[in-house]
Amino acid sequence: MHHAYIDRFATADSPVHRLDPRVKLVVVLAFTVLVVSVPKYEVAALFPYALLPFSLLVFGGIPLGFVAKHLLLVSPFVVFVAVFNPLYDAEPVLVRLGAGGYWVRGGVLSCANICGKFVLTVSALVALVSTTRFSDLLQALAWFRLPRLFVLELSFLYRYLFLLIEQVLRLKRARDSRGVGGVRLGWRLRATGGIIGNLFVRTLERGERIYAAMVARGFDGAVRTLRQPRLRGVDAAFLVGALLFVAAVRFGGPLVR
Amino acid sequence: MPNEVLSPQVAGGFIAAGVVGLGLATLRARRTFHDSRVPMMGVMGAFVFAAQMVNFQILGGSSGHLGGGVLLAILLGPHVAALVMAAILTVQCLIFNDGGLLALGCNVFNMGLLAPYVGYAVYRAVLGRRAEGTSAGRLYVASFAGALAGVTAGAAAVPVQIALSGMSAVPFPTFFVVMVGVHLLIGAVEGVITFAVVLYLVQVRPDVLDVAVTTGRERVSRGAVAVSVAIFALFVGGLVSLAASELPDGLEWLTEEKAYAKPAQAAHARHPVMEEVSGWRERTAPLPDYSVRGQEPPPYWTSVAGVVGTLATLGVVYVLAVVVRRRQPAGGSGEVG
Repeated sequence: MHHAYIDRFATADSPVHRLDPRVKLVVVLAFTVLVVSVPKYEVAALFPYALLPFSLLVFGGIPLGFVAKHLLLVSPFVVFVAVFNPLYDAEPVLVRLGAGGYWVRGGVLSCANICGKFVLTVSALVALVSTTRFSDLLQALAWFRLPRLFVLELSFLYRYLFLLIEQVLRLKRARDSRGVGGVRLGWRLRATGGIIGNLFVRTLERGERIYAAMVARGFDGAVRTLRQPRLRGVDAAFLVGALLFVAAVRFGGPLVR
Repeated sequence: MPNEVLSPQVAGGFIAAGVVGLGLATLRARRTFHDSRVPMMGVMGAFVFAAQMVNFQILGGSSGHLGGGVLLAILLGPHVAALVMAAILTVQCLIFNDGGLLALGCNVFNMGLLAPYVGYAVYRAVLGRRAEGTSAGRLYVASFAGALAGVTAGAAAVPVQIALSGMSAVPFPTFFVVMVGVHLLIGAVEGVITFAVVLYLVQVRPDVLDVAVTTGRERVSRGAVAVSVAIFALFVGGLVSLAASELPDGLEWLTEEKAYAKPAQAAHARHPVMEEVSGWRERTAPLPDYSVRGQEPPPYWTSVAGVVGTLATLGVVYVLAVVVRRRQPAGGSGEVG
């Protein structure tokens, strides 16, 4: 099924999976901010950042082919924006490799920069989501004071997402099996409206049933979970180490030179 | 929208705007929608996800699908729709990695706030003041126009945000016209599907709509179709005239292209001072890497060493990880999937 693979690695186990979700969230967020803030003509400077998402992915046992496939899947918009930079940005920039140097258009560099940042930030996000259960991630978000109602809404969205997707696949199968051969545009439109409208009514009723069932079981707006996050020594070490590493790559360049 | 086309300042600004907007939406939504109905909103988010999977074959192989923001605003009101869309965009970012973490603010602003509110405003404006006894034809035109306007408004904000960030070299007018043009087509498909869903609900479950339709007038009239086409034509016409006024810009770009056919020489010929400066720089810093005007170039070996060193380190990390994972007890506590 199309949807089953999305976060299928989240429930596995590895040293990375066992890290505190709050720590992983902070590290990935800080990483993303620092990578995005790299100036637009820098390309070689982006390479060292790869170490962080790459380590998380390989130690987390996430197949790199899966990550690559996923990157391709979500890339169209960023490629669409970046690909025009070489056409429009004719600012000459001197690139030197060893003794020889040559001029390239700034747009070529900024295009490579955007694509590089994309690969870095999305693979970091994949590393986070593929090594953390969604419920743990939500708990981390709640710990960071994301409004409780919003967290609750997210948890319901996730819980019923796959159920409703299967329902819609059944509705689509029914439509397709009745609409073999060429049918008129008007009919197809009517069928689409019917499927979505029908799904809406069913969802509305399902939502009411869910709420009634929850109230019957004493729901008072609070969600209690058994898995309590606990900051271990390893988590603290990872937090400090990862943040120092990213900060060193971003701001430490002049010191090395 | 991904992270990389935004600057941290713009991303931060729109995260703040999104938070404020959602806060206001929450306050307004609470007047009609009790806290305890939050499960319903979550399930509605799942509904939009599922509805997005229903493809609508248009012509030949091309097919469109629903975005859902405006439909939700029509069915549940714009405040609830904004909160549901925010949850959808968050899940889309976290689970499907579609749209970056930093860009979430912009995405919520465009698709979660602009689209439902603009769409709903247009829908209400077309519907007029009378809440009860409106004709079905007017309702269809209103939902079509609302969806078209909402989608277009959300898309129009994207080039503005990217231009503010300065990450894309494409001139703002060109980008704007292309983005809005593409989304007029997407918006028309959205409008047609929204229209079809409202049509179904009017005929099957009129009680879920907040607008009552005069009985006996549920069918789509030719007039409603004609008005919808006219609204779409109006939008496209506006865009075409906008694009036409930008044409000289495109021509300028072409001539510039020719001048820069050999970018290095052309630029040097035009900037004797720059030539002098870069000549001086080449003498003092013998092996610069990127020399952008006005910036001190780093010595080349740092970056080459950085690239080679990174690749080597990645290899070491990979081998290390393989070894570590081998030493884990096989078939241990994990691997549930």
